[in-house]
Amino acid sequence: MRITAVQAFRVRLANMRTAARQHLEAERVASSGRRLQRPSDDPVDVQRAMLIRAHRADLSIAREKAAGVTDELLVADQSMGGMIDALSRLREIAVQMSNDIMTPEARLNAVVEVNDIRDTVIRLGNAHFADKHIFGGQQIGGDPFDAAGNYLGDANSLDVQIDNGLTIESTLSGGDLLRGASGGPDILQEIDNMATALGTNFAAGINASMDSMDASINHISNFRAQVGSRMRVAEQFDVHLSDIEVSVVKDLSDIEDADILSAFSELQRSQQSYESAMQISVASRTRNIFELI
Amino acid sequence: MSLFNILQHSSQALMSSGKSIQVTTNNVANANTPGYARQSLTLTTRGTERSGGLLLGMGVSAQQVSSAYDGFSQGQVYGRLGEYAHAGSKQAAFESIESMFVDGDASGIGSSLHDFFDAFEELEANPSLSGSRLRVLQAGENLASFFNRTARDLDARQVHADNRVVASLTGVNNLTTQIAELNRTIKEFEAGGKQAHDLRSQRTDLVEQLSEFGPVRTEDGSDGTLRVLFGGHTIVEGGKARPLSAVQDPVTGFNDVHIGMANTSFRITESLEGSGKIAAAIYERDTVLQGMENSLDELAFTVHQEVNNLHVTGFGLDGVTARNFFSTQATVAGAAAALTIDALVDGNPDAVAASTTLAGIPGDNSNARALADLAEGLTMTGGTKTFTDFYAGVISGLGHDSRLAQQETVRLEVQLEAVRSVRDQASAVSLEEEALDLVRFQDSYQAAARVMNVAKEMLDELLNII
Repeated sequence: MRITAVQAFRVRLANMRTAARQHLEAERVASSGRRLQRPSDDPVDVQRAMLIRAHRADLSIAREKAAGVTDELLVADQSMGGMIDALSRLREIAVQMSNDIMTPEARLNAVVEVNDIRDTVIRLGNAHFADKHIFGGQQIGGDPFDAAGNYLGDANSLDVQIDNGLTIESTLSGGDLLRGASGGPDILQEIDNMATALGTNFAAGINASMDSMDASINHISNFRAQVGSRMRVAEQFDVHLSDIEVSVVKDLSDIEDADILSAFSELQRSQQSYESAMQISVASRTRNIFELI
Repeated sequence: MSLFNILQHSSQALMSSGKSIQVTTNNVANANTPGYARQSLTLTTRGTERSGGLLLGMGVSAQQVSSAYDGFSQGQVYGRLGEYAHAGSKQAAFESIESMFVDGDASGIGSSLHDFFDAFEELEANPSLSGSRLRVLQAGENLASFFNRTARDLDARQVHADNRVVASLTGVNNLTTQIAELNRTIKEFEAGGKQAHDLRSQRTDLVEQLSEFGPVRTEDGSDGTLRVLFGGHTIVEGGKARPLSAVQDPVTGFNDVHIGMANTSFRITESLEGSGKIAAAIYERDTVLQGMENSLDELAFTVHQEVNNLHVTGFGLDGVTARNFFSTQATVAGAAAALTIDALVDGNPDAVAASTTLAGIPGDNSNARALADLAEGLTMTGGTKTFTDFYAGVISGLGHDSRLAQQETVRLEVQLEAVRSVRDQASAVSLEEEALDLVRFQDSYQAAARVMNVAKEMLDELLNII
């Protein structure tokens, strides 16, 4: 077989090109630490990586929403805690004022505190997180209660879907909570009744206020328990999502990132191969028969 | 035999050896000349003469210079070279297009697509918050901007590919003109009975260059000319070359390849398929880039349609309904390039329709929920894929095609090298062989010179006798 000059040149060039290409590829992977950079690096894994990245973004937004709902429900929980404290104080006042030794003047003086507490309950009913009024139902833009205690919100709730099949109500109807719109005591009315009974020195009315305050406290406690349950669901789901997110990040890393040890071994191997190709090309050149003539 | 005959034979041997060395020198000089086929000097005996009762040889004569050109293997090289140039150009095109989607599109249309629907998720959680509404608008603008930019980029690449088609035709016409010119010269030269090897080598090189542009076939003429067929159509015949021209397609606006015939021309675009740079540029322009653009248009149109269908039924924070989110697109074609936020919504966060009822404002988030759910809806490819699935499929398809082009290029590079090796084994210059030939002819030359010297001494001896 005849070996010609151009053949030898092309073979040497092709070998050097192949080695250089492999070295460049190894350098790219080792320096970036990433296995996938272009769609052709591994089309199937590139597709998987895109879908996993989308899933990861969904998880991230779901966790943000779960955290947001938890924060809002925490405001509701704290507000209802404040309401229970206020109603407990009203019950104490009712117990205290129901005593026969209390004079009409003393009972009249107590009306001032009862009215202040009523204002506090209304203020707590107007609690908001950022721009969202928690007890306005879907009417979250403004105070759900006016100064007189009239409910301005609606009977709905703002439902936030954390994930497929999991929706959490992040607001409540203040009408249901404080005005007995869907059963239960009309708490603000009960406070008004108590103030009237104290102002008119109506002992039976004052006695009845003790029971109505108990019923009011129970009513709010029930709502608070519901909110607490929702918070637990949101928190547990956040933990669940966090676990999934760790697994997703690992999957994504397995697909996209280079194994550093292999990457550097490949870099070294390709560098040796490239240098060998260059040395062989130079060595071949020195074996020219014309130099022997 | 007389001493004068010896001198004469030695002189012819010297001349033959000298010419052989000249041919060898020419081979060495052209060892790396593209298209050059090794030449050799054919030496023959000069016959015999009767001398008394003996038949004595009359020495050597240089008969002709012949070329080791192998038409069949050279034809194989033309074919493979065209296929390799086609695959290499396709690979380069794919690599270039892939650069638009570096890192698997972690920061392009794919990410902006789910960022857009995530913004509706945030709006669902905070339907009255102006920040959430602004985020929806910004994510929408971002998505539209990515679609617009990618579509523009694809358009620009199509124009660039089309320009390459036109520029290639100029290259082809230059080459065919030179081949036709060489045909004329070779014909005239060889009419005298001699072979114009160097001119033929030049012509071979030009045809080889031509084969990088498209499928080339050649037929040898009896008069030394070469008929060249390009995509099955005669492009050079004798001393005439038929020019290729670019003719704009009235529908696409891009150029087709036409070949001139008498006073007219006809389209040969399809006959170039599968070989050469021209077909690769046309494939890039009409198949790859147009395919990507069609997919993006389909995606952009469906996103715009699905989002608008829901948005138009909802209510903004300002209580207004029946507003599109994206400006309406009449056709799928061009949807990616034209996608924009509707003028009634653009810059107006309150216009984002998160609520399905007027009464539900501001806390009704059900329309925002429905819009966010579109991300998971099977809205693409006849209701079988989500937006993300579809887009990931497009990118993965691009990767598959690019990978195939890479593998095809490597495969054809090996095949091209194989046919080149076969050709070069037969016709290229081996320096070792030439070196040994040089030694061989030098030895012959020295021997002939020595014989001449001996004959001269013998002649001197004879003269001294007198």
